[in-house]
Amino acid sequence: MSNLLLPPNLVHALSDFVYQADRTFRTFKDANPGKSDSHISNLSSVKLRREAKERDIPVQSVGFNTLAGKSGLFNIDLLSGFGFVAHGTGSRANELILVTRGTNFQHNKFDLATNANIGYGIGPRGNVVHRGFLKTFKSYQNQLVNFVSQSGAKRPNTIHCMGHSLGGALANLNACMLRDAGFNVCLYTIGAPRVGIVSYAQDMTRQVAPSQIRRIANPCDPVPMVPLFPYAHASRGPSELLIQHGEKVGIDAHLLHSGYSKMAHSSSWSDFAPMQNVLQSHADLAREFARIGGGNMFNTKLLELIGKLTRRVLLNMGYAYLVTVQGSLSMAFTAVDLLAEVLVKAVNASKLLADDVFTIVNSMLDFMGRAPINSTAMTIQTLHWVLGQFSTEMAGRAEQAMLKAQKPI
Amino acid sequence: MRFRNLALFALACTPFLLLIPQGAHAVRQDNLILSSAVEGQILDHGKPVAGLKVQRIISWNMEAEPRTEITSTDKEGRFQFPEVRGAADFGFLAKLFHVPTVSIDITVPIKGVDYLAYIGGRSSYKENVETGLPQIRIKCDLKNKYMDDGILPVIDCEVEKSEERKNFKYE
Repeated sequence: MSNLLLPPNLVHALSDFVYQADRTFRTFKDANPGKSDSHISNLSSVKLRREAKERDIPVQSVGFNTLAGKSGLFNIDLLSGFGFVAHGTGSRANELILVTRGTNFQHNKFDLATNANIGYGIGPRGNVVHRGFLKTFKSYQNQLVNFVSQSGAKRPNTIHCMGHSLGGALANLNACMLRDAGFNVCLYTIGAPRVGIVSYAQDMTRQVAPSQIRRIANPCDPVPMVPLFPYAHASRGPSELLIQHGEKVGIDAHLLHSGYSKMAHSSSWSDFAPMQNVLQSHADLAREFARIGGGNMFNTKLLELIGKLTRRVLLNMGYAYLVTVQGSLSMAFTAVDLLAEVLVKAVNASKLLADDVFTIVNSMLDFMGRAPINSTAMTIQTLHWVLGQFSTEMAGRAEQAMLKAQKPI
Repeated sequence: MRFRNLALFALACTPFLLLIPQGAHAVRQDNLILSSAVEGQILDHGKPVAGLKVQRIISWNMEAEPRTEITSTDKEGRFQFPEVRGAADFGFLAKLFHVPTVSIDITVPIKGVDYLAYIGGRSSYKENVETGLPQIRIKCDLKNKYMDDGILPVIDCEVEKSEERKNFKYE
């Protein structure tokens, strides 16, 4: 089964290369006003496959196709190159590689509106998914269906769907649609945000075996933590892998050539640590909290412990289904929204749970570099205030990291 | 009802990422390498072509317009372009979502048609990205020009690569 998966360095290279699809498409479109989008796509495909060859990326020239998609909010649409489809080479000649690009900040900013366009839409298999991602997906869905159906007699053995950031979100939708159409699918995401709500994640996990999913996340990367609950990641268990990048949450961790650069030098998925999905006991967690001590502003380890303790409280409160799907990466943002609903009840449920909530809240304050509160101050209003501050600080933390990192990326 | 409240809370919190002012804390980064220096030679059936116009077009996703430079081949058919660096303001979202994307095209206009002699790209601002070498070195023979797929005018050129790059395999 391990031979089925593409190696991490190739997934990294393809997820990186796909950003050129957008640049190429836009350049040809600007240089050829009045030409049809299909002509622009064809020109882009020819140029991209030559560039792929220049970079020694093992994809076939024949059948290389650019996907043109739309990003944007409401009526501000911008057609751009969102990805490509290509056949593999050698022993993978009968496998398809489908790569979608992520949000790319540039002199125009329409892609960001794709991320902001939250709300629900009905995605593949009738699942409820993020409206912005879905809109982009639908804009190139027909091209994808045409390409795959054109394969005809050469039905691909496997279709590898992958992408970084927003591209990972789109890869989820690609994989979902293609799996539903009966194809064998592998899904790889790097630093991807959450795509659909809990029911989507559960359905996706049933559709594609964990052995065929590799979701790479960096505990310091804030993007896999958004959008907030009820959005959830599709995979769990052995398919979720971590890349460690420093100890603090920051935006460099999201970059392919920074937070995820280890992938470029790895030919085996075993080089990455699986996300721990083992529920730790109260005693173990208490010891870890004690070991880490105070003064842990923006410490990733503390953030992880907050997530772990939150899971335990959630389980005790009967929210097991959330814990199963969310996995162990239920850190900052997840913790914030779940706690808002559950922790207030937990405080009144038992002394043990009240103590846990107390630890969580004071750990959040410690994470933010603020003074702890005492248990008598633990009102609903206080809890909401702490959670709100925590959420804001998480975003602010990323900004501070950017300000400190005043050097070329 | 509980689920609905959670959903509303999530919807209310998510846009905070976008509310952070773009320009307020923008950081200017300079010395970002957009293209390594280029050294090339153009031949026609093995003989150097002198006085031939050569263009380098650099398209960077932080700039609206591509940068175009023009030079000419010398009597040995050789031409050079210097290393190019760029600078841009990066706000919070720009830093978080910016993926360096630079395309480097070297074209040779012949009878009104721009033939692509080199198609390179960068997704990093580091040194030696294109070929593993400090310079992009290419050697082209005009006898190898044609229309790829009938739509893209190209010249198949030799591109020198570092030993490490030549020996690298993905599997």
